Amino acid sequence: MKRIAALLAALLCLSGCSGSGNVCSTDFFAMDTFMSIAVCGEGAEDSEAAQELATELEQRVNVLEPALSRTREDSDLYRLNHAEGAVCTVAEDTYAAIADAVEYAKLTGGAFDPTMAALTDLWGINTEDARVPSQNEIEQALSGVGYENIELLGDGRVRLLNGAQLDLGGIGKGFATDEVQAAWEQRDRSGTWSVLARLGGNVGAFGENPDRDGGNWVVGIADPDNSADYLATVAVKDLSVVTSGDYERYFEQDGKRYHHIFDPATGYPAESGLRSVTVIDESSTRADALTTALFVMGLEEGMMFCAENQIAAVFITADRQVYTTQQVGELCTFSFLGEEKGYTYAQ
Amino acid sequence: MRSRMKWGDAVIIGAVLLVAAALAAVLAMQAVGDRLYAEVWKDGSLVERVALEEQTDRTIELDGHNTVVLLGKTAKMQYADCRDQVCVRTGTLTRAGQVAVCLPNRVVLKITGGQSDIDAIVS
Amino acid sequence: MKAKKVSFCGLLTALAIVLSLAERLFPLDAVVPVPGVKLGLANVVTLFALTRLSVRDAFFILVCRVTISSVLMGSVTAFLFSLLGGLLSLVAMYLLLRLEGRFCSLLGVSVAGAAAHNIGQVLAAIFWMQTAAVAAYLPFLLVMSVPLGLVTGLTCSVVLAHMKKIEFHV
Repeated sequence: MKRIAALLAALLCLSGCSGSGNVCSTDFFAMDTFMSIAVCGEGAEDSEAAQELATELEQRVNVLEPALSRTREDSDLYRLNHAEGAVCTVAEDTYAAIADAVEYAKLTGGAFDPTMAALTDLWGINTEDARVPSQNEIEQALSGVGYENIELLGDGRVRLLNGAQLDLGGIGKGFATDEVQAAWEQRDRSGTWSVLARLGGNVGAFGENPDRDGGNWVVGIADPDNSADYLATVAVKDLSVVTSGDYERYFEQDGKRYHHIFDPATGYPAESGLRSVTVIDESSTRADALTTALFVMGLEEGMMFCAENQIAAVFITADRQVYTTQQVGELCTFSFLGEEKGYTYAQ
Repeated sequence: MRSRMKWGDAVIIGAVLLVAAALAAVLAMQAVGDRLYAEVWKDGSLVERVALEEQTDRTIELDGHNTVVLLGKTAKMQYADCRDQVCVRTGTLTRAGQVAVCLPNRVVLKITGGQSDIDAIVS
Repeated sequence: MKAKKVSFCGLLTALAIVLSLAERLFPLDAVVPVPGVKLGLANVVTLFALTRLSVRDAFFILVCRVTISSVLMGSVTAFLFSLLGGLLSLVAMYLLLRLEGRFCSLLGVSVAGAAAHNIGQVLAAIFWMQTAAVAAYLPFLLVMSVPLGLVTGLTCSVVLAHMKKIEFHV
């Protein structure tokens, strides 16, 4: 009878562990996107401490929103963009984000550029007046583009030259993810809780995953044809995963698809033969900037850039090939699952 | 005859049946735990939570702005009157953790419950 | 080993193989779609060997039966399932036989043996198919093992009573 009791106990435990009482999550809208921050750990669902941490992390993102927005009329960026070349003093968060943006623009040789606000507004993708602008208009908008036009003068002082217009949308979600990580590290020193941050398609996975062996987090890389589904997974820990693709924000005119990732050199949506680029990195801001830059560079140049700079990236091409850089294998566990959907993994 | 029943026989038979019943109960409990739910949220509050079964066939209208279709063990945003159509393009949701979001209308369709192979999707 | 005993063991092995083959007439696959899962009629031979011969003899008869019937039916999975099921059943019945007469009768021993046989088969299936989903069939198999164990136990007891009557000794 003892043996039977032991067997029963084992079976009951089996069912108990697989249940999910280990997540406490908060869903909210911020930075023009849907966000979900999950605090995970033993008994998180009923824990007040976990709930408090989740709320605190959400608040951190909400505080960042005005600091990174350029559309709110009371924001620093709005003021800066309308200062007509005068020096502006901006908030600490804003200054740090601009400095990051400039750093990654330099790193990528301008393939990622934070000064494309005028161009983005001109195309109006995801607004009611999305359209293909005339060549004249594009050249006009391009005249202010160039990260060299940003002057960082220290002490929160910034000046924009040549009519450049700042847009931190390209790194905003990444910057927010890094801030969530920093807030979690500062707040939860005992290491009780782990955090899975999903900020509008960007993912940050910090700490041990209590529900999986090895404590890793399995992140799916979206199928460009059906973004609810995925073509591959990466198992990561204490890393951010970011994807840029042509499939979610676009409009069609005369049978041609115009997406939202612009080539700073042409002012048109980048036509590099890629559907999406995913970067896995310790810094979500860097990953955010790099996905855009690599998408603009295209497969060949992008792969070379990654090899030179030790970047873990996954490229999905329009001709249904999936490429990974060497660093992917070193940083995480990559699993290709796109065979059934007609993709091949080119190693 | 060595087949004359003793009290111990009843104990053995009882134990076997008990283990069978307990195992069946645990398996049934797990099956319930694996059940998928479709949740429809609007402006941060839950509008509808539906258990997804093989025979599920439901259409949920949200004031004419969004239409959610639940069919079998899948859910999708069939229609949205918004400008960007990101939620409609997200496609059909079949696994726990998948989300289709209509940003302009602040509508979220997501699948919860069950066990998923993945924790998140980057897109 | 005496010649009489060797031939007796051979006879029992042959009987066990026949019972293994006869089992295929019961379409258990219709309810439990795991190829290779069996009722375990041949357990009656193991039980008989345990009562009239020794554990060693019972073990050899079991291994011979499983090997030969698997070769006849040509399936690795059947071999694996039968072996693990048979061994577990042998151990369970051997242990309970020591309590037989005081705690329980042959019927109880046989039911426990049948249950152990099914647990063994399912364990082998979990190992072989690399999925715990097979465990879903175990409750059904366990319930089945009660009537089956009663039948095999009764059969064994009838045979033993008859052998006593005709004063047959090995």
